[in-house]
Amino acid sequence: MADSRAIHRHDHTAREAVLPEDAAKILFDGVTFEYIDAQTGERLRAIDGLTAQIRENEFFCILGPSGCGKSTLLYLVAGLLKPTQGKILVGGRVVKGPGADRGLVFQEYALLPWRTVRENVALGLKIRGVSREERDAVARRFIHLVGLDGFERKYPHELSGGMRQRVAVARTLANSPDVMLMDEPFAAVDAQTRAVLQEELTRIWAQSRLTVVFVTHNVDEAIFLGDRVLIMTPRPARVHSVIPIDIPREERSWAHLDRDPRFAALRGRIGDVMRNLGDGSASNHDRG
Amino acid sequence: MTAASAVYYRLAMGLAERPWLAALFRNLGPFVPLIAAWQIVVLLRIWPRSFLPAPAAVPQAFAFLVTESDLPGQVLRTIYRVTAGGLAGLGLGVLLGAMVGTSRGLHEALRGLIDYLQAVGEIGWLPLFIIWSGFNDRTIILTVAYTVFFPVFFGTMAGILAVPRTLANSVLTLGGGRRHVLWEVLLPGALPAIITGFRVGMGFGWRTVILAEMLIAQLGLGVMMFEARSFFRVDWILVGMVVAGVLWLVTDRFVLLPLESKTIQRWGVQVVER
Repeated sequence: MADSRAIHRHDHTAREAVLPEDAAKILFDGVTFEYIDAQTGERLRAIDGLTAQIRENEFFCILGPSGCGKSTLLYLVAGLLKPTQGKILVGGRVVKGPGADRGLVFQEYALLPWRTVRENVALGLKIRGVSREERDAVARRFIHLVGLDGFERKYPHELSGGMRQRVAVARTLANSPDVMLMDEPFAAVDAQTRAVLQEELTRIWAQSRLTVVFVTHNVDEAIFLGDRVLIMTPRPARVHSVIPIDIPREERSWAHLDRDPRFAALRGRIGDVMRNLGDGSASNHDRG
Repeated sequence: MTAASAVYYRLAMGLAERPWLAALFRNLGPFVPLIAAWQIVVLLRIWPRSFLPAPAAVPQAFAFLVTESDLPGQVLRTIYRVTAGGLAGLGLGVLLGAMVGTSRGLHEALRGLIDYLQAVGEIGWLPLFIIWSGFNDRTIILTVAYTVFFPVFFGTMAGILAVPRTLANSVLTLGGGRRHVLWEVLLPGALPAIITGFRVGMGFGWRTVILAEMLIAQLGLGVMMFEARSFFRVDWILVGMVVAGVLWLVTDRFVLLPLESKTIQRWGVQVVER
């Protein structure tokens, strides 16, 4: 109990130190999330007074051991869950519920199985009441962007895992959000596909004005993608550290990075932290 | 021998070229020994002819009922009743199933009542329906609707509860509200289960409509069968049984089953070979 009080005091000082609220695109302000375990009926704390900020247009990675509450953090930003204490601000406004300004790409794709690729990509526009012609035009553009031309009329079950995740990304982008939240989106695809998807995502992000929050448990992926990487502690999750990735974007391709000493140094440093946090699964040579 | 094998060969070739014909033969196959056994029983003269006429008497009686009596008109009346009742049961089942499937409170409040009403059954209600509504089509339609309602209700509810939560979440994060979650996710997601429920319900509904007609109506397939009893026309009763069975099989195989397979297939679930 004394320990948790100490943490709150720490949070308070941390809040004093942050930028004015409107300077951050996303601000976590002493966010605590608790829930009732369905089996034991126990009250559990998943996130414990987390404070952090994410800049506009930033590619921000959240890295942490499995089950540490990374996904919960994204769901809180998306408005699908509500913090028990503290608040989250996106674009200066407190998050009260889900909204089209914050798109979420789910780990398990979450495409509608009974809708074609085009209908899935156009779903957000349909919800907004955009006309069919305009919807189709926008959908075609984003299907092209993710390299799925010719697959417009396919159903999700006819596509591979990697293609499904491209559709999910296109669906989120077609809805023109300010923030794209990504919940371990490439965890379920094979290593080759993952490397390609990571490079394409960086390209798409560079062309857009998006703020991306990308959750992963994979050290290499976080370094490859992120402007900064936030490392979370195991449950209850707090900020362990935020590490800037100082490798220029144009030098980030898998062909070069494997031999880049800066990449090796970051990988060693972050890998050590992860191992000390008790995640045996974090491997240096695994891209996924 | 050679003639027989030539016939067999041509039959086999014909079936290979026309899969629907092969399916027809496969479906009709079990009827052959059944009819043969019936013919043998008749030949053994275990019962008098008036108790059990020969199989050949059925097509004869059918031709008679079509030309001399108004069998098609009676059948159409029955089809109207079972369709109207079926659609009413479908509508009500989807509506209440969706309400109970989307609201935990309603689920807890209504589940016991609905289980109870299902146990009472449409036959238990029939006397009450007659008092309230009279000896008319409305009562029969109501009874069929009551029958079809339950499988559709449970199908809808279970189907909605089985839709992955992330699909609803994805619509919410795209800016959708509860209405969009219902129409874009929950109802389409539950559609295969709804159609399965409707199929089961209509199977029961066909039995209900015949029974209700026997008790209530002046016209209809059930009436024809029940009246035949007073003239001791077992062949007419058999015609009624065959017509009811064939109509159901045709509806099921050519409308409901393809619809079910199509949704299940499109929905990306593995189709089980039947």
